[in-house]
Amino acid sequence: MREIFSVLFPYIVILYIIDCISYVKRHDFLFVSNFRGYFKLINSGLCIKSVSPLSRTFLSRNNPVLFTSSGIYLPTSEQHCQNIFYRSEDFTFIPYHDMDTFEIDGKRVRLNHGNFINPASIRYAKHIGSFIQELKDSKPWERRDKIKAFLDEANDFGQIENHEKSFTIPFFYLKSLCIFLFACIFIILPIGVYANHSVYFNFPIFVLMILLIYLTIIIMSYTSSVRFTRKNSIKD
Amino acid sequence: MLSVILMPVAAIHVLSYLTRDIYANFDPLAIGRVLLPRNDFQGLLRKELFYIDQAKTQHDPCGWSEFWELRQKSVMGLLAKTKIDLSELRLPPDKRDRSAAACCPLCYAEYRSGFNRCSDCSINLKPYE
Repeated sequence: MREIFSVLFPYIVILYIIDCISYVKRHDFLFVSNFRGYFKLINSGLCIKSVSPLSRTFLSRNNPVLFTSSGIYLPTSEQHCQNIFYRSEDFTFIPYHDMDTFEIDGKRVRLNHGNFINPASIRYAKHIGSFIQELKDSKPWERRDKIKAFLDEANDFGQIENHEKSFTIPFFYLKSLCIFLFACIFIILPIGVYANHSVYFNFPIFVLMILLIYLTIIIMSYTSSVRFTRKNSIKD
Repeated sequence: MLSVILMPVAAIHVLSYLTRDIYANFDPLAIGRVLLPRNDFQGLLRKELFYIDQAKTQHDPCGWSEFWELRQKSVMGLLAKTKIDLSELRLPPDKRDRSAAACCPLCYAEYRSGFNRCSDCSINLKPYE
């Protein structure tokens, strides 16, 4: 088993490095925390997120839809993704009275069968989809105030501050398990594989332990996410 | 979560996968206000105000400017809450290289004389006084 792991270990490292690499599209914002817990912002391009098991990433995107009282502006082509500036020629205007069909399809919001809005996540797709529907059903003179309220709500950083304060408690055990798994794979395993006195290292038990930790992480991440979402259901 | 199931080593970063989208409904500026160091947040804010100013100059009959006015008001509201002075944000950067003749007003990259546009941002450079 030692021989198998000596062959496998470099591939495990490569897989981990691949997992640490992320591609950030233009107009996306990836907030990544480093070892000390401070965050840095990655704007666009290929990047290595923090390799620490404690790192956290948050993805956000500038509003993909520009709302007005009479309709919405949607980015028309890849051109918008290449430009750092917002140019009106890269957008198409759809008046509210021309919106016939409207579907939320996973991460995408589909309008009139042909136009798509691509928000950063399913959560935001639902949020933006329901807001467009609300604007469409509103009286024209009410829309401006609603857009203002929508934009102000997106800038309400007090909610994020509250979230950050409550963040550590529900994920404490999960975080500890992630650190333990990291230590097992990248500290204990190479010692067992490459150190000379590894005759005392029991590989079957070690593998079983890693599998157990992995399964516990899967189960706990599911339960933690359900609990956390239920407890802190912000703007769902 | 699929990548965690398919690639067990990715389970180490499960926390990132779980919480990646929790602030997706918020403006990047609001997230930056809470998470980024003050200097980085100011840089983000400065760039966003620059984009808004650029977008507002474009004309479109269907209400393009209406959105950007509302966006600007919203960002100004955030600015007021964070107690950051707008004039402080608009200040040109300090000259870092003695031979620099101009700098990009967006990314602050410095250029020697003979250059008019920033090669990264494609905008006109601002000469140093």
